[in-house]
Amino acid sequence: MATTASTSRKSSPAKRYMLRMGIGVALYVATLFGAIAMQNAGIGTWQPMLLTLPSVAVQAWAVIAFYRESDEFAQKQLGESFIIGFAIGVPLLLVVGLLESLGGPHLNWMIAFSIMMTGWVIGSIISSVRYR
Amino acid sequence: MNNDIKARRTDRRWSQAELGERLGVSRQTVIAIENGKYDPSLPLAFKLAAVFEARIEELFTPDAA
Repeated sequence: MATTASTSRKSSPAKRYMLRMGIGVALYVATLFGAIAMQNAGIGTWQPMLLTLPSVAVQAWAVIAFYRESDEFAQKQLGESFIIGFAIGVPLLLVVGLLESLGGPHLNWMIAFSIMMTGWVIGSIISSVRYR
Repeated sequence: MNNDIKARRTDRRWSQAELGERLGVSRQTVIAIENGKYDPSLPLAFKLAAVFEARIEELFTPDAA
């Protein structure tokens, strides 16, 4: 555990997370536009979209580094929010998949992102209220 | 777990942020410990004891059964 008097002079884990995630999102947007331009130029169909994959790694690193660099209380809150988000999101996605296989409407894959993120937001709210 | 961290901190006229800086944790963590919402790990409890020059069992007392 790092204890230094210079802690306040350093950027906080949250600020570093915002910077790293901002870089990841900016990279995603840039590569997405590049991929769309390549598609419009007739270079491949879905293959140019693979260009966005490195930005996923950057965004994942941003979240993991945020957890690792946070102090123990923040880690507990983050961990709880992830667990709650997972506990809400995964069963919901299972239900959506089962309903689809039983003749329900076919939904876009993007709904998985929405469900998981909503679960994480709910988990964050529950965790912050619990320790207020 | 009960504690008298807040009283000891205010005796020394430290802000929550200042105590957090001495401990290497955020102000939110200090608030949660003072309010009894979060029990610190053993390493952080030892750090608190060192900062307040007290034994851990002087800082923390178990809840009444």
